[in-house]
Amino acid sequence: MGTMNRLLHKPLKAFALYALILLLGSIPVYVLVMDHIWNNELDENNKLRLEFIKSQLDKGHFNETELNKVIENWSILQPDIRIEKLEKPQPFADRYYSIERPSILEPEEEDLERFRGLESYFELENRAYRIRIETNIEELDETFAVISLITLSFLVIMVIGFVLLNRKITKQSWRPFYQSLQALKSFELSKGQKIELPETDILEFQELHHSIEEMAAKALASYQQQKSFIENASHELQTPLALLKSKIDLLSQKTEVNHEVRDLISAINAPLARLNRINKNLLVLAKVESEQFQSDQNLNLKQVIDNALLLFEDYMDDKELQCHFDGSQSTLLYCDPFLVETLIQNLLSNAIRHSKNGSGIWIKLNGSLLEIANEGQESLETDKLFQRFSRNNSSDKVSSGLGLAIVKEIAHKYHWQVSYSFESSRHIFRLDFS
Amino acid sequence: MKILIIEDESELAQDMSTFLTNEDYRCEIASDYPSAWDKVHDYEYDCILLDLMLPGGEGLKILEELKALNRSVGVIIISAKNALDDKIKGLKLGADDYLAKPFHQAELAARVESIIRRKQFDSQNKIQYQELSIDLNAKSVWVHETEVVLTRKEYNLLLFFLGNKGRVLSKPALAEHLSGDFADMFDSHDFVYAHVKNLKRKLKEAGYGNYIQTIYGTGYKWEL
Repeated sequence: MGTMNRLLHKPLKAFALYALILLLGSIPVYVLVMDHIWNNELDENNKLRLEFIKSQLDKGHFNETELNKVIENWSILQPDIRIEKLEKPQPFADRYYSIERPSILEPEEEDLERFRGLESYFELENRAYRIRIETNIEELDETFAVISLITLSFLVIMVIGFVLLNRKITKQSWRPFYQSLQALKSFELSKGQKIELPETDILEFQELHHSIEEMAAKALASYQQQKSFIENASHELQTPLALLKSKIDLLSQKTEVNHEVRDLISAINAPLARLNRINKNLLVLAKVESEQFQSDQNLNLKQVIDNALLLFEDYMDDKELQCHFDGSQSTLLYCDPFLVETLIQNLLSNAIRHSKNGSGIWIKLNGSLLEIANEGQESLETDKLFQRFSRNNSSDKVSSGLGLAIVKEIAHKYHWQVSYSFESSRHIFRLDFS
Repeated sequence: MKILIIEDESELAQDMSTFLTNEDYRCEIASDYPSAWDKVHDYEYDCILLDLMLPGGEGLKILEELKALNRSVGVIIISAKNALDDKIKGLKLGADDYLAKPFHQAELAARVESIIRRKQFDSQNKIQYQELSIDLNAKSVWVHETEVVLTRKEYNLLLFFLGNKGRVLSKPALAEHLSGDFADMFDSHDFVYAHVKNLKRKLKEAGYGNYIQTIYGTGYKWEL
C-alpha cells in the first residue's frame, strides 16, 4: 500500500512540483529574452556611436596625415573601436556580429569575454576604411547563473510560503474535519455516548457534522434497541424455562414411568440445562453492557480463584485433572464480585471441559498477570474466539457459546487485557489486570 | 405445616404446590399482590415462597409488611431477575433464603425443609429420623451411638435427601445442589455417583438401613 499521504499534503506536493517545473522552464526563456534585449540595446548603441564617429570625421575635414594621426591615437585611447585603412574600395553593408576574445581593457586577464560588434565601411578623402565597434556584453553562462540563482531563491521562498499557508489553512479551515475524524475514532457504541460536534461556517463540514451526528444517533438507538431486546427476550424465556424444568421434575416423580421414558427425561435434561445456561449468559451479557453491575469493592483475586477451584473440585476429580496453582502473592482488585467470579469461573470451566482425562491445568498468578493454561492439540481460531456463538467445536453439546464473550465483555468493562495463545501444546488465556 | 406460594405464574405455582404437598406440608397459592396481602394478614404460615416480580405491586412490599407484622415466618424469595441487588435487598428485609428461577423443585423442597426446621427447632437444632440423628450446629451425624464421619459434600447430600424423602432426585439437581449455579456448565456429573456411593457405604457401615435407591436413568431416591 505504500505510505499514506495526508489529504492536504497532496495538493501541496502538486503545487510545489508545478512551480518547480514552471520556474525551471522559465530560466532559459529569461536568459534568451535578456540576451536578445542586451544585443538589441548594444547594437543600437554601437550604431549611434558609429553614426556619431562618421559624422565627426566628416565634419573634421582631416587631411590624410591628420587622419592617420587620429586613427593611430584612436587605437591607443579607444582600442575597442578600430579603424583600418583598406587597400582598395570594397564597399559592404553594415554587419552586426558577436565575438569572444580577451579584453583589451584588461590585458592581464586571459579569459575570453563576449563582445557585440558592428562592422562598417566608409570612405573619406577617397580612401576606403573599415570601422569595427565592439562593446563588452555579459556572457550567456553568467546571465544564466544569475537568473537561475534568483529563480531558485524564489522557488524556495514560494515552497516555504506554500507550506506555511497550507499549515494555516489546515489548522483553520480543516479543523472541523479533523474534529469529526477524532469524534468518529473515539466513538464506541457500547459506551452509549452521543457524538456532538461544534458548529462550523463551512457548508460541507456543517453537512458532514450533521450527517455524522445523525448516523451515530441512529446507530446508538438501534444498538440500545438490540440490547434491550436481548435482555427482554431472556427475561421472557425465564418463565417457560422454569415451567419446563418443574414439569420434568414432576414427571420424574411418577413411579409408573418405565425405562424408555426415564431415558427420554434424562435426554431432555441436558439440552434444557444448556438452554438455561445460554439464557443466563445472555442476561449477564446484557447486564454487563448496560452497566447494571455497580457494586464494586476490594477483592483478593487469589481468594476468588481458590473459591472457584473448590467449587470445581468435583469436576476436576471426575476427569482426574492435575491442577497446578502458582499464586503466592495476593492480588487486590477493585470490581464487582459477581463479575470477577463469573470471569474466573468461565475461564476455569472452559479449561476443565476442554481437557482430556488425566491431563493438567496450570494457573499462574503473578502480580496483576493471570494465566490459565490447559493441554491441547492445536491452536484455536484466535480471531473468532471471543465472539458470541462462535464455537470452535460444533459437536460440543454443553457450551453456551457465550462464555468467552462474557469474559471479554467483563474485561472490557474494567479495561483489563485478555488474550489467548497456543504455546508448547497448551492453550493459554492471559489476563492483565493492571 | 402451611406454606404460602406467592407467584403470579399460576402453572408454576401449581407445580410447586404439587411437588411440596405431602402428609407434612399443605400449600396455598396467591397469584397476585392483593390476595397475597390478604392471606398474609389473615393466616399464619410456616413458610412463604415469594416471587419478587408480582403484578400490582413489588413483592418486596409484602416482605416489608411481614416484618411490620412481626411474623416469625420463614421467607424464601423466588426471583426471575437473578439480580444480586434483589437478593441483598430481600435478605436485608428479613427473607431467609433466595432462589433464582429456574430452579429444581427438589432444591426448593430442601430449602423449605431447612427453613421450617430452623424455625421449629431453634433451640436444639437437631434432626432425628429413625435411628439417624444429625446435629446441625456441630454438623455431625450419628447412627445410634456411632458417629458417621462424612465429608462436607456427603453431609450436604444427606440433608438434601432428608429434605426430599420419597422423591426422585435427578443427577443434575444433585449436582446443582453440590456445586451451585454453574453445574450446567458441564455435561457429566459423575462425581454425584461417587459421593452418593460413599454416603451409602458409610451409613451402611454404621449399621443404618439402605434407604438410598438408584432410579434407572434418572438419579436417586430416599425410600420411606
